[in-house]
Amino acid sequence: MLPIDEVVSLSRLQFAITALYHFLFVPLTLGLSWILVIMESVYVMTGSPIYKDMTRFWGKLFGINFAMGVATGITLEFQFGTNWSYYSHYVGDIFGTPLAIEGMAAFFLESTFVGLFFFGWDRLSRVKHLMVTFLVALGSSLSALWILIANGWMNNPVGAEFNFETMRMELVSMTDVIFNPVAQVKFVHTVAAGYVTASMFVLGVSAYYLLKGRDTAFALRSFAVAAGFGLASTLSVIVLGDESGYTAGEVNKVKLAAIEAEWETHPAPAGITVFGLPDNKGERTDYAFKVPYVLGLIATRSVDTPVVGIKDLKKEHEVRIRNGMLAYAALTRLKSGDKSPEARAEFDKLKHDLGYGLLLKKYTPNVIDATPQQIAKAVDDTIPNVAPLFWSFRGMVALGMLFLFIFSASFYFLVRKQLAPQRWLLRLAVFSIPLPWIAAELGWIVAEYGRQPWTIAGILPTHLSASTLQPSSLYFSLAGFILFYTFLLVVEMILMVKYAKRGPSSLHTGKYHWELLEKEKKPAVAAKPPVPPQPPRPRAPLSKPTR
Amino acid sequence: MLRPRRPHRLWRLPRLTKLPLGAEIALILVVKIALLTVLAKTFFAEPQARKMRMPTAQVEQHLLAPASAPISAPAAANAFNTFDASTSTTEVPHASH
Repeated sequence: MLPIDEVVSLSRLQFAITALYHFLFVPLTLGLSWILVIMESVYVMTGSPIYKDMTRFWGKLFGINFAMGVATGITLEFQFGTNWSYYSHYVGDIFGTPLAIEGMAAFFLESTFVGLFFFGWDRLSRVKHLMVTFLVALGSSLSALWILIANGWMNNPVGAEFNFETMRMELVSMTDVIFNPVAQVKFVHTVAAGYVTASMFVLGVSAYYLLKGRDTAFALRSFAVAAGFGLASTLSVIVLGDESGYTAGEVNKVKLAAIEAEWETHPAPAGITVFGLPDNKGERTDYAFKVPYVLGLIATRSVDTPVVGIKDLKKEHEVRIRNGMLAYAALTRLKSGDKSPEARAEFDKLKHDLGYGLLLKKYTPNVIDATPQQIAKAVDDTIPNVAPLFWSFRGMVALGMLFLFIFSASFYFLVRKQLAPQRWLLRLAVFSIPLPWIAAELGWIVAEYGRQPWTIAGILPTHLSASTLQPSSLYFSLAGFILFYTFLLVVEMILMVKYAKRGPSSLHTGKYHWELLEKEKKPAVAAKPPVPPQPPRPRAPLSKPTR
Repeated sequence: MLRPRRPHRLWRLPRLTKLPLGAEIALILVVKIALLTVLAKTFFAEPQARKMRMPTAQVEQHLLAPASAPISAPAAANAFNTFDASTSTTEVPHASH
């Protein structure tokens, strides 16, 4: 017998680590591509060469990030077939479509035009080059769209039906899959987070130049673009995050209740817990500090609809698990050869709860014979661990508020032409460069950990999705991935810091700080009077003079 | 006269190569493709689900094992209607693995 928990945990850990590493590269590509579009649009409209330099310099940093990040997501697709084979079979008919479209259309669109972006400056007209930059940005956003459609479907599996003959979910409506509300909200929230990440990156690096007092005209313009775009993006992230909360309240009540540590169903409108110490075992939140009404308004958009608490959700889940046992029995009957209309009708009536019945497979080989204790354990499993979700979410929101403050203050002082004396703000911008990545990773932890115990919400439990593998092979591949991604990350950091420090001088236009400094030094060296040849020193006698 | 301070050794960035950026990135991409190929060939060469499909019988075995005589839904319903909190059961390992 294989240690299934170890295999599932290792497969999850491997997927989580590779996805989190992958998402270190993605948001900068998503956001920086649109910042390049803004900068180049200004160049095309005004003809001012400094905006061309800005596009080329930030484009160089975009290129480094793109080169390091490209194909880092492909390892996730390796894992689907090898580590998550049952998942792949069960949902491949739906899940495979957006992944294939992403690979064939969006990724190739992006990659092709990235090449044209770098090599097309002297070959294309201004407007044509701007179109190329726009298509790079569009390609990266479309790439994200298809991936997030796939991910949104995992959270809200619409437009598909289970086929007992093939034992897999089959696509019924592609329109439903594409216009899945969870996917749409996820897409706009995620790409907006990418815009914030890139804006903070440009803002921080520009602030560094301003603090050092070099290339100030270049830095101020870059700072202005980043402050404006960052402020708009941060506001979008907050508004779309609120929309995401509302969607979660409608379709993923468990995730919402876990994020908010809502153990009980309180009278509407529910208050939001700003701070507290969630206790999973005791099913309570110690030292909770609540703000009345806010959660109810966010999650239900009403004052009279309650937010269902975890304890009540568990009662609902118990009913669904018991229905799932019936669905499992009906499926077993069908698979044993009884395909009578009655057997089919029985299964059709119950099949929406089949996934809940499958939760029992962790505790009993024969779901139909599950004991009340086993059912109780399966019910407990339907609630993810509350504390990591509670804290990850609050970390993400707190960082979002900090970004709002930084971008608002930057925009305000920029408009008032009082940026230079605000050295504290410039320093804050520099030190905040890594924070959007942390916020984005926390967001993914909330999204993915909050879906547990499911790979496909309500349909397929995680423990049944993993392949039958040896833990040793997972340990080795995990180590291989960690080494591979760490290598890429280190190289990215070295190149990024090197070229960010060099600034626009790396464009070799001869107009910027380091090149001007070198020019100043060279004439100084040339102006130095030539050293006159020294008269030969009298040689010391080889032998001591005789007295 | 004060001499300009050199940054501490730890803060000086290691130089990757002496090549220009384009060549450096091309080199890194080659290394990256090589590493990805090694990882794919070593650990992911034999996916259990090729083209996101597995033999249906294997999936049935995984989800529905142990195969037993046909069971009617009412029988299953009876099984869990006899709720007895005092019944002690031991956790059984996952059957399909």
